Amino acid sequence: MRFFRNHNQIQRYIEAHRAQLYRLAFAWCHNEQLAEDLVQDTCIKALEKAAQLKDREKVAGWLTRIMLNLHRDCLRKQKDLVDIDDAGLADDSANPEQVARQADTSAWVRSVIARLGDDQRKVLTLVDLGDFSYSEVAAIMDIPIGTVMSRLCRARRQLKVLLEEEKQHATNRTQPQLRRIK
Amino acid sequence: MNNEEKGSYSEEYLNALVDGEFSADEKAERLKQLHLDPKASREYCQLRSIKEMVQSAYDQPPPAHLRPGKYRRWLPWAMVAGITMLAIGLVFTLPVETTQKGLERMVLLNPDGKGDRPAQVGDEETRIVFHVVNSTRTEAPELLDEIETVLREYKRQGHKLRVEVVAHSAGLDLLRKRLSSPAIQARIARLAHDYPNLTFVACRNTIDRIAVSEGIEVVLVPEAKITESGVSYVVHRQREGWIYIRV
Repeated sequence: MRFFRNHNQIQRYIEAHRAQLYRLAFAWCHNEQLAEDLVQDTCIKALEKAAQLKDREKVAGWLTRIMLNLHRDCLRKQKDLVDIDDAGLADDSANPEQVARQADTSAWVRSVIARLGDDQRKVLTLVDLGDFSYSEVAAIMDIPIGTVMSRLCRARRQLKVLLEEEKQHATNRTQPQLRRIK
Repeated sequence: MNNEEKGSYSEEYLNALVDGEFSADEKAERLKQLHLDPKASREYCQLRSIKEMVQSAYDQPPPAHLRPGKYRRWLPWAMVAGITMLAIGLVFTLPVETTQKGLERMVLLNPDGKGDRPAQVGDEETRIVFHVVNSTRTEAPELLDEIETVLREYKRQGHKLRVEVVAHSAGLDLLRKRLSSPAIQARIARLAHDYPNLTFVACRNTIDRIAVSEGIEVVLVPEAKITESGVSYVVHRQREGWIYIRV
């Protein structure tokens, strides 16, 4: 049975989820324009595939899955992509821009999340921002629920370490340094 | 997820508890068990705090700037409506903008030397949030001096002002009865009484963490209101345009 009766109804449903999609897309790209493009492409794709959706309750998961696949395609096209899911931190040195951004708490936390591996970041954001259950995340990402749980554990563990490091850096920068003079 | 019965809790279990993977009744029962284990309880608080930080960080992501040509297939009528609204908006708002530009503006700087928000624009209410994150056992008098000076000055000039002091992490010392001196407690009480536009807010996560790690009941001054997460609270205030001062 087709769920959507007409084109306008599809648009209304997609529009209702647009803010949530953008929030997730931004958390994956950390770039406003890329995130908007990703959401836009998701909307277009969803309109094309609207006939596939059967269950009203699953609109959010369905849209998110489309966006996740588009983002994967996008990442695959980037020649310099390095999968750092298991490689730990990409870069633990704080550049001046990062230091300046720490003045804004949200930007500071986002800069730390941006340093997580892509798969870990996706699981973390789907759970925390998308408010999806573990089983829903497993369905969206097409991975076993155990993998969702282990990735989430690693993501939060790394996040904790990174936040502590950033906090330590910030403390060191604000504290006067003592030096022994002979 | 039966680790809790053995007295040790896996990370997966604690995450599932934080993420609402159990029903409300189940969660309440499991949390009761968890509080018997200080280490696990502390880890649970940390995970909950991390989750709240992530949620707050993306609560209002920066908006994207639309590029022409990209949206032809998506709600094309929106462009026509947008242009019409823009024209109407320009006609009605231009005089207001011109008037505001003429106003003398004062900008408050944060500790990092940043500050792009006017401290006072016309008759608008100024809203300042002091985020106290470090122990103020020695600096509390200076902090309260600063706050009182701002409150007094705005009151004298008849300007609208709202000030919130959010105590979080080690900054909670300021509002703790055991660690704040009687003089400071009396001053907090007097300030709260004299200035209804001043609010003291304590972080529940920090209270829980201290209660677990130190095994004591954290008692606050009666003027302190409690919020679930100090970080989330401050981020919300920043998003709402409050002037943010980190202490």
